Amino acid sequence: MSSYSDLDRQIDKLRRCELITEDQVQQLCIMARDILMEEGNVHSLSSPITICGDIHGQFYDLMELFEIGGDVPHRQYLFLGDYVDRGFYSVETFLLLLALKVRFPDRIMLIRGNHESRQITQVYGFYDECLRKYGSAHVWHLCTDVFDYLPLGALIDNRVLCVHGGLSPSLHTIDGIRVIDRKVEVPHQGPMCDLLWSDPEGSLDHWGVSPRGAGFLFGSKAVDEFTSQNDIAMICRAHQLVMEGFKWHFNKRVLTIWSAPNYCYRCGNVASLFEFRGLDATPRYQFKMFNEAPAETRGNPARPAAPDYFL
Amino acid sequence: MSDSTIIETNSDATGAKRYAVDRGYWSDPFIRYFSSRLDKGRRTVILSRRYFTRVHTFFTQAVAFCSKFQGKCNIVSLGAGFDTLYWRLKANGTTFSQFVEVDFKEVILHKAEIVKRHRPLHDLQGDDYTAMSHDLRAEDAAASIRAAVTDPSLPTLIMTECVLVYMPPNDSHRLIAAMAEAFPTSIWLDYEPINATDSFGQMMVHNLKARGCELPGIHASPTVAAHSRRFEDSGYEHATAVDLNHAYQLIPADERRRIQRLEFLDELEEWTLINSHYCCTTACVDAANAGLQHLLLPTQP
Ligand SMILES: [Mn+2]
Repeated sequence: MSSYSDLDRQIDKLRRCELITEDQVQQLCIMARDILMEEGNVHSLSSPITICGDIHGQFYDLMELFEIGGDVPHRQYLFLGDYVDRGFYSVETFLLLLALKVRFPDRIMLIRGNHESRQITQVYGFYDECLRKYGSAHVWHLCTDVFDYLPLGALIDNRVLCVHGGLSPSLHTIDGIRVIDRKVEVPHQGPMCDLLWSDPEGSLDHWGVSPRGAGFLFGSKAVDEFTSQNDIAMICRAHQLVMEGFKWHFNKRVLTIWSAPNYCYRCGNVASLFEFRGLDATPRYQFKMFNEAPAETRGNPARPAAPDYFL
Repeated sequence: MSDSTIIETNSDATGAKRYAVDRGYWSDPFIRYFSSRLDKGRRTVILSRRYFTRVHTFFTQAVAFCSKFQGKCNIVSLGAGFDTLYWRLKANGTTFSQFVEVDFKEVILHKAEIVKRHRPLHDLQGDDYTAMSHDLRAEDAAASIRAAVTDPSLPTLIMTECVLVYMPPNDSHRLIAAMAEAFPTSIWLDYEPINATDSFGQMMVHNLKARGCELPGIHASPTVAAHSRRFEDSGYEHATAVDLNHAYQLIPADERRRIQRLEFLDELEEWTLINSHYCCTTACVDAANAGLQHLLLPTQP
């Protein structure tokens, strides 16, 4: 096993958005898997903690995020998934987060998003990027094997449930999430799929068909029942682009947090971090907003020359 | 902005269409002659769905128009680029009196060259096809197009896909008004980007500018309503305009279900957001009382 100084050198390299070698990736993935294997499906955490939504390979914006939110290990972070696909630097983004996880396992939590999947990454860019940057699919295989070990959720102070997508009609309790056999490719349906794919829908009471073709739409009563049955105050999730960086639903019982500014280099949205400091009588928290990293801090080419417009 | 950048958008569009056709979004046996096999880059699901929506809308409108007049009608495609609509209509058995394509000389010559080289294109092309080069910004554009049409009094379908937005507003207004006069029984089908002032729209203008692509027309017609107004202010009697989200809903449900199964769309928010920045407008002027108003895009799904 490589020493911390080796790992620190790799982290420095990745922070400059440079690739580490295929052997180093392999080592890193083995170490990461050993750590993630010990984490439950719903990892228990304590505040204060900074919660982040989708990153999607926007490496320079992730640097901006750490700039705004403070660095690991000084701050404790929870990332809600969707590290890869869409952006230009999925490889560097995921490997940096993974290296930080291995280096500071108690200071950074990574849970699984719907893009941490073999099938989705073959359509949305991570697979192509691995081929382009390493000349073979080996690194993609290594990374997607790690995806299978990522927890499905986190529970902060026993009162805030964090997942990538949302609730599932076939899950009534957090214990129900704990007993899922998660170490598989994301299934097309069922509770594990729903946790990663579902969305809140204000006009619904209980459940609706998701127009995404996976997961469900969940309404206010579904949220009421789940939160009261499990004695939690709120659900924090990511998964949906919100132009303002975050969005409350159902009278502040559900929060969407989005951390990819100017998503896909063309959506023009702001991003945010959710700094959660605990629950007394009321939750104590603050949002920090951030924009796309300025052009001067980006490498070259930092952005696609032509995000696909439609002329 | 240089005309060569406008011409480049033509090859981008053709490559993206071929990619979607290869994945089964719609059938177009002719697109491969216009797009290099070497262009293997992956396109996003959203892009393919948007082209599907656009191609479906234009094809459906053209077929409905031609059948209404049993082939006694004209189609005029302004800034046609490498569009294959002419051949798709012919292969579909759809008839018309004359199909006119107008574009830059360079594009027209290149297209003619491709047609000459490929029998399936060449064999379908008949006397009903006319290609002409003309700068649409020129004052005599409408008159020259009219002169190329054998019977301009026939019902005429005029098509523009991302063409007017490249023109300064004065030029596009003049072109629309002059076309309404030159083709007094005509229906216009137009497709353009809109909403350049919100944060997505600002980024769109910024990114396109960075690639040398300016849209001098975008601020003059900023909304769906402004698009129908532009035609109504320039000689057209009735106009309807819908954004691309709405246009997608106008496509039959089974057809939408079919293409939704082809590739999985991960981000619905982005899809809705992008579609709200593109607009389809139909407008008609009907000197012959041909009932063109019935062919306008419905604003209710
Ligand atoms: Mn997601």
